[in-house]
Amino acid sequence: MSNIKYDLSAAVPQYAPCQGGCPVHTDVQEYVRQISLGNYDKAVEAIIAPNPLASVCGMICAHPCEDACRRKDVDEAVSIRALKRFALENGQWPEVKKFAVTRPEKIAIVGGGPAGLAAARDLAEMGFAVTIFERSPEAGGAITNYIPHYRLPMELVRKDIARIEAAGVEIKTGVELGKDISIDELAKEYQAVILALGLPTSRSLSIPGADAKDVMLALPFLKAVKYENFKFEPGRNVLVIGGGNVAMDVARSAVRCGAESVQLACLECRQTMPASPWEVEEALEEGVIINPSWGPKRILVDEQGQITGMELQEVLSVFDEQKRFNPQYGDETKIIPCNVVIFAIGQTNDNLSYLQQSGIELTERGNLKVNRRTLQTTRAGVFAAGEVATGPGLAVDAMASGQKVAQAVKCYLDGVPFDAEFADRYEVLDPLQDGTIEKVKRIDRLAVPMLDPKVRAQSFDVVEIGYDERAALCESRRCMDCAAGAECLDEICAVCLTCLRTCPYDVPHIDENGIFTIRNEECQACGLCVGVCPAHAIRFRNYYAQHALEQLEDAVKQAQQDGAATAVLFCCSYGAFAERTFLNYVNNSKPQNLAIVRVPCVAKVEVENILQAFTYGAEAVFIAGCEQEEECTYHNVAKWAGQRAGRAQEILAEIGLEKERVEYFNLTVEEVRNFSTVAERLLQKVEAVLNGQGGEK
Amino acid sequence: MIVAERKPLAEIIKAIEPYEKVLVLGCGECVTVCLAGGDREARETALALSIARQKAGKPLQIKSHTVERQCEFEYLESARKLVEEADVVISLACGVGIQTMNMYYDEKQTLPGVNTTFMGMPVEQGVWMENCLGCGDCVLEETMGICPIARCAKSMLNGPCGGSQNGKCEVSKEIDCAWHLIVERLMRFNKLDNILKVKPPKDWSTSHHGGPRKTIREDVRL
Repeated sequence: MSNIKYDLSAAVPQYAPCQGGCPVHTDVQEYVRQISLGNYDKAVEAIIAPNPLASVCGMICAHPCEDACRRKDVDEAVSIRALKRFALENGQWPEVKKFAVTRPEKIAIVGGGPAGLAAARDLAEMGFAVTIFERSPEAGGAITNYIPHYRLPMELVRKDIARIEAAGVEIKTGVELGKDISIDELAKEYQAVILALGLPTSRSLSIPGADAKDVMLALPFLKAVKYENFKFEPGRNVLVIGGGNVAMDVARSAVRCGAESVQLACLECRQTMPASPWEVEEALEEGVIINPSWGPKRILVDEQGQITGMELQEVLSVFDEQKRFNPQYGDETKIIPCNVVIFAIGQTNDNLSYLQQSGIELTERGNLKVNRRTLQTTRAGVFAAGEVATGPGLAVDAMASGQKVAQAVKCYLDGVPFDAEFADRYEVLDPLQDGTIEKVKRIDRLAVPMLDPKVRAQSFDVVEIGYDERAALCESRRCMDCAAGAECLDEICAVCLTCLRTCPYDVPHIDENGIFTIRNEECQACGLCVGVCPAHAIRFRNYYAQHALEQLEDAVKQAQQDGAATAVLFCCSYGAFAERTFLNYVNNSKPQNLAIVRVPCVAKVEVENILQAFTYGAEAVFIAGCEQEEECTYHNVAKWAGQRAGRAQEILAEIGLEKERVEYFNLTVEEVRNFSTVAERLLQKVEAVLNGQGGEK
Repeated sequence: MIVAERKPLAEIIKAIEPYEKVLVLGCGECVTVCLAGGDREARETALALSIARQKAGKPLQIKSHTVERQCEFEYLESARKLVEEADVVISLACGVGIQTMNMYYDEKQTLPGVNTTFMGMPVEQGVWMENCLGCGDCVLEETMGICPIARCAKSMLNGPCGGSQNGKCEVSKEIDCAWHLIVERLMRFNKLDNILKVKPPKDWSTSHHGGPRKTIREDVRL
């Protein structure tokens, strides 16, 4: 279900920065948390809920979520995109539910790219009958037509699109607007039309030599590479002009198509190249030579019409003081010898003049005139979504645009006013304060494993290997759970300041007026305060920790089924305790009489929980933490978990029970993976205690 | 604040032995702050008592609840249903709260679950120190803000005594000699001469020795 909703009566949601940064507002925190807990199926649910092209995003999204991640102020952003890919590859996808058609109106969407697909899924969910008209043989737009295989295998695109179709969206391919159908024809059958035409035409440059035979344009080149098995003849030295992500795709594809050498020149300096930094890095690794701050002057062509090189001129600046594109050149020039030039300097509309006869006006530059508030063109009921309306952007931006337009269409058909300005209202947490940043543990971001550059330059195999389970579990623990942690219930808080003294991050705070607050937005969700608060006045805003502890009673009851003495094990739910090996053990082969309750950090197990286990009938309670200090984001876990166990032991001793009935210990990764040995020891201990060999009371 | 500590569980177990339905009642004020009788302690105590009785083969119906402040009649009303259901109440409030309960619910017995120990403050997390005896005649202006009544084992007004050694009290090496601290602070403020003024014997009638005390504010009486 899309998170973009036009509902002026709804409260404005407050998002963690990652969720705010994601244009479709995927609940990043939730899926990263579910990954960290080993719940990959639940992670998949969270990922695909607002994002109809989740698999695509798992591979190629430029991840604005990571740009917003607060951990970048501590060390580096969480590697969210790679975690998404891991979850989607390792979790079970829920079956697609076909949306029932409950509305009489039909909607036509022209263009089956990310914007059109996203709009279609949302409108289908609202109960409309939706048909997408796509001129290519296959839907997907730019991601299908141009994104190279080494970044995005087509089976993933097809998987996402198949789910959209299964949800009830009809896709008609090979149908071109202006050729096979017209707006007027569509308007007769459909009550609303969305133009999601993308920007499918490569820009060229009118410089001397630009009409030479071996000058190519980015998009036709990428399409030929992807669908026509394009290969360069031997001896081709390719120069790519452009510094964006498409230019990187072109250059890296050229490497794989047998070019002798591939160079790239762009106006921008290395630091300001519009391409994503990792794309540039990967291109360099694959042997592309980059000439930043060099602008195209002319293409040198010999008498036979063959390109011999390109003259470039030094660029002093690209933008003027008003940040307008206004390149300034110096006197220096240089010639790069080459015999193929590929322009990758941006995309634009097709010629849309045919739309004018249907009452759809264009700007002087030939772009659609779109009402910024209604998202309609100059013809009522005809909307525009995606890059054709917004200009170039990411696939996920186009999806967000499609989702917004879906809201606009619904309002239009409901006869309700719509204002795009209020279609996507949300608030985002402020950055972490310096004092908190200092106290958060530094944990290195794990690099995503890639194929060796020499190997990957030889084929179109996917270059990114991706995280394995261990890496994904470690990386997901770097999430700081922004604002999901402690909040104070002021009405029962005794203002005792126990939390203030316990919190390792100084989240509880007395301000300059002497007022006490728990600054939830700074909280790192370690939970230490919850366990020490004598008034039970602190709870987590997110329910996951409490939910884990609520499993206790059922777990004990199940463990009691065969009548043997029952022990409870509270264990961490992160790291090795989240691996499939351990979860399979818990679900399939643990001893019946050992109840296992996984808790998101054993420092969240309270004395009360330990005592509860005994009231439910357990004979002993064990608490297993981990010896994975370097990947645990929390402070003082062993100290607090140990002290709580100690307190419970004292209470047991006071009522005449053996202290040995409670034990806290840490396990190595290997011990967790071979838990049956540990379990055996624990159950032997229970037996010994019950046989009167318990020792100290 | 008033500081207390939970009674040994064995003592409470003995006290509730005749009963089957017990309410453990916490207080949301001082005993919460000193971690002796707030909601957490009430729940833990109830669980511990429940386990003990379960193991003894005499299961107990036990509930816990916490009121905002047990030393106010008005706050006690919210616990009425629970109090009436119970055979007996174990109060984790200070002695004041326990008595208030017995006054308000005089048909029901409320037993102490804590020992009320002193008026004091946390010197560090988990450590509370006595520093006021409520003598009714404060001398802190003469003793540099360090109370010789509460913090000297002999409540001396003209100290230190001969038992003060290396800044510690002869009663225990864990206890700072209050007069040693007073002298040090007098020196820091260049007021050591004050110690030469001999204070007359203290009039203890303002303290508990004059009988139970009462404070009245006529201007707010109804």
